[in-house]
Amino acid sequence: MHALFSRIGGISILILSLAACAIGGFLVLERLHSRPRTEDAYLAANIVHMAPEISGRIVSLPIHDNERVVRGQILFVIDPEPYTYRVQKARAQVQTIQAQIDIQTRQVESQVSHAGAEASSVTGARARLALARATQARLAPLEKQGFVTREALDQARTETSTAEANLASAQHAAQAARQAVRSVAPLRADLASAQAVLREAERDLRLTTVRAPCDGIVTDMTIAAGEYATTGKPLFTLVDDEAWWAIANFRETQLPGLSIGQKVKVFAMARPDRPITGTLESINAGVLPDEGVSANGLPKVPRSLNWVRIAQRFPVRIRLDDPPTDLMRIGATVVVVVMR
Amino acid sequence: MHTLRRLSSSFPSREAIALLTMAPVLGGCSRAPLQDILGSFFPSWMLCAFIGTIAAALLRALLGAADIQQSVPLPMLTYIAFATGVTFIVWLFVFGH
Repeated sequence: MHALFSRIGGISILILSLAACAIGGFLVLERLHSRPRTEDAYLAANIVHMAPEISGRIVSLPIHDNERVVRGQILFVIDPEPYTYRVQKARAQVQTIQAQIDIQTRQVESQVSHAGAEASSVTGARARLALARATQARLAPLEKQGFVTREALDQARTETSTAEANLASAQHAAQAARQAVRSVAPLRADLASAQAVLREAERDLRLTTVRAPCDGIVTDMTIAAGEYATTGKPLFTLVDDEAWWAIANFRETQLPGLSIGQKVKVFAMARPDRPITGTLESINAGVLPDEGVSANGLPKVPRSLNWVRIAQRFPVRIRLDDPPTDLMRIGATVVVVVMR
Repeated sequence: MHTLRRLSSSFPSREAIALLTMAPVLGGCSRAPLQDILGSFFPSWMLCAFIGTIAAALLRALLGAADIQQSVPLPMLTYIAFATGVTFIVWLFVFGH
């Protein structure tokens, strides 16, 4: 009897174990499918290569490597002296041109008055010509009748010709006076140019003080005050601390189940007991393929071909909702589970 | 201490040692899908498989102590299926998320 019970117990253990195996296996597969996960993931943040926009010697460098800075905080100061002089020079240039414009404006006013006077003399000359012509017209019939001498008529004709010449001269003089009126437009253009130079100089002076463009952490800093900063050449790196992501490489077979906005649990291996929540932000559109590259103008196709092909993985960007400051490091190992 | 002595008297000493060495390992575990062991990250399913194996060994020891070991049909299949089943269940409940 005891042997029979033992036998039943033994068979039960086998059946239960096989059942647990089958059901458990199914549930595990189902869970892995419904909540895709990957261990191939790391933390990432944006970085700023802090390069100055102007050149000069660094006179003040109040920050240190690995220091946390806030947006707008002074990172370093480039010697402002040459840039101060440049501003003064540009300002002087602006003032000079403004003074020239004042002088020129007065000259133009004078030239305009002169042109007005010349125009008035044309009117006088025209009146004199009319008088001369009238006098000549009056004398001409009288001379035929013998009431005036021929000399008087000749004199009237001469006066008419002289008046015509005087009118032409006055007209030419008026035109010349009009044309001689100078303009202040070129000087105004010069002023605009000088003002632009001044603004640029003021901007350069302002840029001698370099401020943090975002909240961040200074890294890769190996310089001290006294270093010569060159335009566009990075001096150190600032890790943008305002947003953190987990970059998780998911297999291509897992990607159809992922969509933007899904909730994600991120385990930083530095503190795996404190899961961080995140949101799936975007899915990568392409990686460099192993095949399909060209060499010397021809496509390169390898001869070897594996029977078992490994699924390609694509980086998926997950924005961390509330990243704990003490765990955030670019490149830190994380594990990502998409919760749906 | 009394429990320990009773354990070592009722189980073969190898299992008792395995159980005792497992305790600190499990103590340092988290529910993350990776387990940190001295700077190396092991997948958590490995831990589950380890627990499943230990459970199968314990089952065998229990059956041996009760002297019904001979009644188990296909012992190799039974213990492997038991270990695998425990592995799956532990994974589902602890690391399944």
